[in-house]
Amino acid sequence: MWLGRKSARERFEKEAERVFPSVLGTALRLTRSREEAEDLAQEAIVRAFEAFDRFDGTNFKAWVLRILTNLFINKYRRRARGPQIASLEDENVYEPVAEQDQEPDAQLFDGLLSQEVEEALGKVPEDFRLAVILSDIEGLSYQEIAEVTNVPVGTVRSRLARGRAILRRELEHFARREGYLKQGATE
Amino acid sequence: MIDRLDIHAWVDGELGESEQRALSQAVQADPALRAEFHAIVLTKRILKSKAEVPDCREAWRRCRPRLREIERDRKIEHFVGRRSWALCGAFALALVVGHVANRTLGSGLIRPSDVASMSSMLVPVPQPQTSEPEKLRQWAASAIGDAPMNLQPGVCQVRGIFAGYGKDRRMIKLLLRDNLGDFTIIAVSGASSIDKLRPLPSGGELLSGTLDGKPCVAWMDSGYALFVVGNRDYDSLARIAASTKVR
Repeated sequence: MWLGRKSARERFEKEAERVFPSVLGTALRLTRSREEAEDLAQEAIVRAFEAFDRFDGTNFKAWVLRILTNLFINKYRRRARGPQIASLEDENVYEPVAEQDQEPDAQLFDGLLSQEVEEALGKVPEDFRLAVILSDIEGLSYQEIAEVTNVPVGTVRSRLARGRAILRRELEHFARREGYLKQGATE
Repeated sequence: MIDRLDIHAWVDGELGESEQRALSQAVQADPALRAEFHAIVLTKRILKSKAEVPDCREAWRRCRPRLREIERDRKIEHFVGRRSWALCGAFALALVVGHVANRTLGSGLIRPSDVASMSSMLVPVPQPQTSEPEKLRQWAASAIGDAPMNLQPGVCQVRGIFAGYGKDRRMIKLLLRDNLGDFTIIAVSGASSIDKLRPLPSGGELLSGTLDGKPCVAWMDSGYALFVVGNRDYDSLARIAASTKVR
């Protein structure tokens, strides 16, 4: 019996170590504080281990990210920095990602630094940001994002679209400010 | 009419083949949709390629001991949970065994400290109102009963006798006086050995030590532990013991 327990912990550690960069990265992008992110990530891993018996064995990363998200919502959200969704109406309005129906020039954004991209992402309201992080950085499917964030798939779709549109706008703002993108280049 | 959210779904690989085909045709035909498609692809690509990968080695290193702690706690909880009745039973059994062992193996062991406390439970044996030596000898012999001791009326004077039971043992305590002063002889029945006293160097089977803060010598005879106690030297007590012993 004890051997079984030991191997369960070892199995968990192996899986957890693999997904830990995603867990910590998501925590960092949600809390925007290294200290809080480490606490949140660690607590999520501990909770996951405590509930490992109940893991259905499908997608470990999505499962741990769901625990992390719930923890964040319940414990950290009130203290978290950054904009949040103003209202449901905001959430459901479609905002095009492209500006002025023009195809973007990819090279214009290539000069952006990782830090600037992260900063732009930080300006996206929290729920939209979470959808974008889970989809575009962590590679989760809509269904998995819906389960992680506890919302319907339709809401995930609209949050992703809004999140990307806001992110795109922020990226462009950074690109202009840093001179990668000339004023009026896409206007 | 194209739902623009479907363009996101297409980029994210969430559409079926036929839906993709239909959407692809629509996007090709409409510059605005094409721009939207490329903007989504670009935003997604930029984010994926530029997102920082946090250094998490230190955080993970701190996380692992907590998992081990949880595992250890679980093992203990599991062990106690599964075996709580067995543990309680074993504990109760240990208490019973200890008690029985104490009653059987340790019951015959006499300590001077026990004798001192037990002797406080004794009551005086009524003394006859006579000065006739024979009647006094009979009274003393009757009180002593089967305790293996000889009293020499010519050598010492009996000042009083106490008898009774302490810890289920019969005890007799004789208050005596000789030419050196007062002393006491105590006999305790049901004894197998005497503890906490050391052998008297010149005393053969005699043991020596203190009882209730006074010097004493002691010996075993016929299931009795006998103590001679008095404020005098051990040789003097040993001489009394030698004369009291039943030969």
